[in-house]
Amino acid sequence: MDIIYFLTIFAASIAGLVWGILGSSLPGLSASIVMALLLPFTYTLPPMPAIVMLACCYIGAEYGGSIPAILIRTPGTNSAAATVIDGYEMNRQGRANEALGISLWSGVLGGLCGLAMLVMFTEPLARLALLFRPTTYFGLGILGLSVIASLSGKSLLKGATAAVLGLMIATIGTDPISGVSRFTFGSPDLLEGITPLFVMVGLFAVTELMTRTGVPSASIKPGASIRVRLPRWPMMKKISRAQGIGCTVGSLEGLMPGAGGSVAAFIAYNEARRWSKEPEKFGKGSEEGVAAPEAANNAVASTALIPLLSFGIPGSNSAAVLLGGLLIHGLLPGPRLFETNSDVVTGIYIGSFIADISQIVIGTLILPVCIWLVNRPRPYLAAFIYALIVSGTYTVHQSSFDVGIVMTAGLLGYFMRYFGFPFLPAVLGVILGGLIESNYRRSLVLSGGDFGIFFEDPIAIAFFAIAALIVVGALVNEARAAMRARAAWSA
Amino acid sequence: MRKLRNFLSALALTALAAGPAVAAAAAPPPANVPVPYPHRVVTLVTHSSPGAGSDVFLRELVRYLQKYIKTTFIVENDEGGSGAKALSRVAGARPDGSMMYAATPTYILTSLLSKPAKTYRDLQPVVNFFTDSEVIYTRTDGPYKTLKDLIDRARASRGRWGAANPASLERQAAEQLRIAAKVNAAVVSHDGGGDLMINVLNGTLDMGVGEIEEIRAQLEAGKVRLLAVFNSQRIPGHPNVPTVKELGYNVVMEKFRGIAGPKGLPPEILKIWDDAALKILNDPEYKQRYLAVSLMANHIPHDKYGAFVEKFAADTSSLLKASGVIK
Amino acid sequence: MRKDLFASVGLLGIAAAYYLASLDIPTSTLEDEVGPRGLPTVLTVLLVVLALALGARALLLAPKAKPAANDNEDAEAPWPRAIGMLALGAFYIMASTIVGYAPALFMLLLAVIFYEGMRPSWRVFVVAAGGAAFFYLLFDIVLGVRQPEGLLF
Repeated sequence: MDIIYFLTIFAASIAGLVWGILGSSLPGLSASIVMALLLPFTYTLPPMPAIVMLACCYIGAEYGGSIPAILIRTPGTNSAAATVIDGYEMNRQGRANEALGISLWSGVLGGLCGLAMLVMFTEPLARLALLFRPTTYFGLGILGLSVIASLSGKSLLKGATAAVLGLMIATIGTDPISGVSRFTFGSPDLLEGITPLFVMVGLFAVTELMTRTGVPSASIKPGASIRVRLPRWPMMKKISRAQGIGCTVGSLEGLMPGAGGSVAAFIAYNEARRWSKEPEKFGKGSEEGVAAPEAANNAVASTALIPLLSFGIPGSNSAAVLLGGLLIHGLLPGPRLFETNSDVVTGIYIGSFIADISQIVIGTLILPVCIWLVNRPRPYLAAFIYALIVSGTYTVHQSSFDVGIVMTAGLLGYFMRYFGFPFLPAVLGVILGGLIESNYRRSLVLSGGDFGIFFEDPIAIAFFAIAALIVVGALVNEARAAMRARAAWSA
Repeated sequence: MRKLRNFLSALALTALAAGPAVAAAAAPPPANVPVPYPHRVVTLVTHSSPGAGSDVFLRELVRYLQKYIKTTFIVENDEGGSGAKALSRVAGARPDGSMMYAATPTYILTSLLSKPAKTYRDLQPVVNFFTDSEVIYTRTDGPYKTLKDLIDRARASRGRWGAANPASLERQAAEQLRIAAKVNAAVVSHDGGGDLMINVLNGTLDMGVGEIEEIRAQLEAGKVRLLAVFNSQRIPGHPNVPTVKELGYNVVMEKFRGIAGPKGLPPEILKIWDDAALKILNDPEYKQRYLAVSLMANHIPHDKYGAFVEKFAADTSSLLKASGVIK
Repeated sequence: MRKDLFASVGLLGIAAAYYLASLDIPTSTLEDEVGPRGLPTVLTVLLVVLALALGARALLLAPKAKPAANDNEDAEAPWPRAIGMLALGAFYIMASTIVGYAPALFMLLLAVIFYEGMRPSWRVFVVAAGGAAFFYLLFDIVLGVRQPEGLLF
């Protein structure tokens, strides 16, 4: 191979990776926004490095979102929402460097696994992607929603209520089927609905700022070292099962256009917990609880390219930006891209590989700075987080209205916290609301109102079955816990 | 500092534009001396995000426009509020030709569907360049070879038709076709063209309605077949595909692409744009590029464009009202 | 458990407001059988049921439930102070449209630092000014996003 070709790929890949990691670690900037911001810079580049840079930016962005999730309890991107649970808990226990190390290591494995799928199984996976119908997406949405059962914390009742609130937020905007406006009150800013990431940033970051103001932080133990601790062999073994689950779920989810990394991360988290030897540690700083979602969302970054490259159909918002990049450079993704522009396709493969591997190096360089930053005196830290939130949110649509939405979500979060409602079910509701509603209705339009259509789709049936298992399992657990509590009470 | 950035991107764009300019110099009589323009830098605002349809179109256009207008064009993406933000920004700009808006039906739809601070009426249509090709397509290995097959199927039992977005013109066109053909078909709207394409390819839907640009990859790979176009005449590159109208259903959709500006633009600016648009549409190299993506040249000068946009808005509005989407 | 009772009442209020707003959704001939009001109606009913269940549980279990030790949760700020923190952000949104991004951000940084109890010193001003400059560089120049432009500058 030509050395110039390789060096070009290398440079483009590292540049994209670093941009992606740094950009997505700013709260409010989702992976697709970070890529869209990079896009204008690639106009002047030749096609191959431009596309490699964007693809590697995607990889970096899927990883970078976990940094603020662990350090300041705010997911940097949608798909890092599940990482907040155990990542931040580990941080509170003074194990931030360990959590960051696990997320980094799992991200690398997830990325490599997704890449292997992309390189070896593009053909069969593309055929699989063609099987997904509206009924399948509805099944996926229900499966995602069933995860609420294990995210609810102390009370299933409150978790379900929070989920309904999230679903309500998701109904704001243009109706997905008929196109009429719902709850927009005539405002054009609400036509496209409320961005889930804004709700997350508001619920987590703004609420945290509000409740902690002027309170000395008692529970976050100062981390002993700012050096990142990559997992050693025993830990690697311990989290390997969670990572395997994450890789599998993520690789498959990437194929489903529209589903994206956030659903994958939540499902992976839930499955890792079900199959774990220590399920009781989940939510209390479990290493597996960080490993599973991080492996999943990094795997998505590679397999989401399969529908894009083979059909020209983007598998996520981020893949849609990559599609824009291809089009601007006059490349038409689709079955013929592999013949006409094989240098670009090979470039993506090699570049992604370099990016996945270099993530370890870049991560160990960047993370100590991040850990150092969050260990500054509390007033400075709070001020800078606040500034970051208002600037990052504004960036998405250059709109002060959006900053207002984040503030409103913060207020909502404050009330929810005061009354003891968990945030994650609400987040899941916002993410899944559109997916569930539109595909349910789409299916019924297709069948002319016949519910039988949901049972003609084997993949959807499988999703329903798993969802039912999860919910029944959670109910049994809850009942058992209640009985145990009663027994303890009477004893 | 912002100026510096703009200057740098202007520089980059000039470099890009140099490509076609050099090529043109080699062509026989280079009759195109760029017309002087009162501004050194002109900002073209689009509501589309970087890499999306309008954005790609605009960046390509700008490269050739620089051959005919002596200024530097900068494309800025003002997303948010489905175009409402870009609208109010341009409507509030000084009407001297230094800031223009890339107009598509979106800015009319947003004005009709919600109550933005500024509507399409606050802008002055300057000149139209193109009409997009809107097509009906089906999968190649499916049972439908012509539009008639599709309509017959919908008449015999029940059709399953798809359109990209719920409040889109494509959706309206499909509904109108259903009514004009008096058949029973479910029109299913999707979250964009990709989602729709999957369902056409896997046979969930009988057909989809969309811009040809969105389906070009599948078309070139031979996975989908064009059945008809909604344009008023057959489209470049596909002379064998009939229009819906010539097949006997009176449904026509003309999705326009042009330039609009703040109200009160001086006549000399309007003239520069009118002339430049006419020239660029006849530019042999650009012609080759836009015909390849099935864009139809449709030059409407400023004195007629206002009425065209107004009529388009009135038609769309009455459609939306008839179906009850707006009151 | 009194909290749960209040929450229940509040949720019923939300459900009522949401339902009333959902009545404004226009009906259209492009509708499917579920319609744009379908999900909102289902959600209203769900929220009412859940709110009632929550309220009922609070009433029935009220005597039993002793305040479960607030397990390793941090202390929380009193509510007026927390709302004040939110007000700073609202103030920033307004300020940014008047004085522009960097000056408004400087004010926000300064305000939050003082609000968090830092004593005024030259250092605080340097940090806030440096922070505003850094964010301006990062967002306006590097990321190339036009942050809010003020009327004054």
